[in-house]
Amino acid sequence: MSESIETNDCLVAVDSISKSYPRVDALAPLTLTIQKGERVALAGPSGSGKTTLLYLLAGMIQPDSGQVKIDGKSLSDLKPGKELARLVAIMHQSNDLVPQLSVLHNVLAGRLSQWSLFRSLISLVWPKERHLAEAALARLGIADKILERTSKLSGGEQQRVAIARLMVQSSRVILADEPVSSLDPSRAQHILGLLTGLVASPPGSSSAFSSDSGPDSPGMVLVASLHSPDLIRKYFSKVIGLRQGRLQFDMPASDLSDSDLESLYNLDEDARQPLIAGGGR
Amino acid sequence: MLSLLLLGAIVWSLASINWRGPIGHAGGGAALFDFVQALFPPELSAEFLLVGLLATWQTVTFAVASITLAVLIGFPLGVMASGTLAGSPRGKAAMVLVRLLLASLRSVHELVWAVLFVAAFGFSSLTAILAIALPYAGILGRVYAERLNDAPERPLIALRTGGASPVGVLLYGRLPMAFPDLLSYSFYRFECTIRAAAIMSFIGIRGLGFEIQLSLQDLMFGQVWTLMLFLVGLVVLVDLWSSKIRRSLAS
Repeated sequence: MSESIETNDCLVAVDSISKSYPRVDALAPLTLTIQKGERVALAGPSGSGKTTLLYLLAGMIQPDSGQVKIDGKSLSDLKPGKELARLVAIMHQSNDLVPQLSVLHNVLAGRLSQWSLFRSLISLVWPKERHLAEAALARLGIADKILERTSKLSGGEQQRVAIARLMVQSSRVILADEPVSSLDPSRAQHILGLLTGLVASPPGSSSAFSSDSGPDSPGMVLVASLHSPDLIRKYFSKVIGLRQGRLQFDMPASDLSDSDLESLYNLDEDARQPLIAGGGR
Repeated sequence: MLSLLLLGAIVWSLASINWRGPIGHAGGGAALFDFVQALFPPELSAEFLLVGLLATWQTVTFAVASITLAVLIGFPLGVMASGTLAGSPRGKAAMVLVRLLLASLRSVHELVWAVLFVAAFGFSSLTAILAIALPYAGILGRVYAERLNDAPERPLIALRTGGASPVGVLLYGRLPMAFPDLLSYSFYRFECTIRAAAIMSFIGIRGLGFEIQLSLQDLMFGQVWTLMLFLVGLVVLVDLWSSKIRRSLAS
């Protein structure tokens, strides 16, 4: 029993995917694997392909070559919607909630992939699975805001609503595009604590969000792009460095040194050349 | 190119007016004077105010019935015309057909519809309501479709990547985001149906327009002013009501 879990530890397998764009943010052939329970930080200067990689992992765009497998299933074989949403959820840089809806409905929108058309319609008037939203919001500390109009919440609260939506979607892989780029340091710590907590939490406390967690919980993965070495070392188990669409390093976060990041972000002479050439096209 | 053509048409139409002769007819000035003088004061007897109130009530009922029917027809057509649910080629074809239908509904003026329906249903309330509701459904459907399409894209993408179907995206994204706009435009159109209901007097529908017509025929300009003030007051009331609802929606 424990052996089979050992051998199936890989949840996300990226097999030499590439993606090219006319201008920037392209991805050279890239191969990596992510184990269950891992919290992965994605670092790299802007235009290095972080967002492209996240979108490929989310199945929002298709690679030019290669494939992404999550839990052994190739993303390109999955239908967008129900199947894909069960495997992977993504939180965008701006929270992208619907400001006119209540917090409750914005959170429950994470359930739309599992709901029938009729259920979605009814739920607008008589919310379904309200307990899921309540549990998620309580865990994020904003249970009292559940009936407020989302536009009335502060930016930080809205971000927590966006996280609650991810939680009720109960996907195996959670992706976050620069979740802390617009936050002050203490808020950034708070949000990262919440996000990494989703993956690292003991099975019992996450049972409200994934029906199939238990003693042999299938395990989850978080992939978030961010820049701060301190936050990466504190909250993440693994760090992937990207530069101009190429993998620069892939190592345990605890091994990350400041000079690793410096050389990743440093725009020295030989690196600037292709950047200018790429931008000039 | 099109602008030049339009400019040409305007210049040509101005040139076709005979500016030499008097623009009004002889004695028009005196009639205008009589008319304006009657405003001070308008007819304010209790008896006539009651007539005005009753006429206002009749106009309101026609306007409410017309706008309700127009929304009921215009909303589903507007959703179809927006193309937000049209994924398949067949759906796209339906979208084009519905857009054509909306265009033909609104390209005919309510008075022309009234003439057509008089032939079918005679001088009846149904004629007046249908005559207003159909072109208004065409206008509402078109504007609803535009507003639904103009909803901010990012929250919609977030819903889609969360696995929502096109209907889910419509229900939880487009509609709630467009709703304040849809509502305030519908209220504006409600004001317009009041105006339209008033002129339906010419097919014998009771209401403010009918009373204005009677008073004009009797050359009772004071009464005409009173009735016009009722009409203005009614539109102002609806405007106040709609801005109140919009404010409560925004907060």
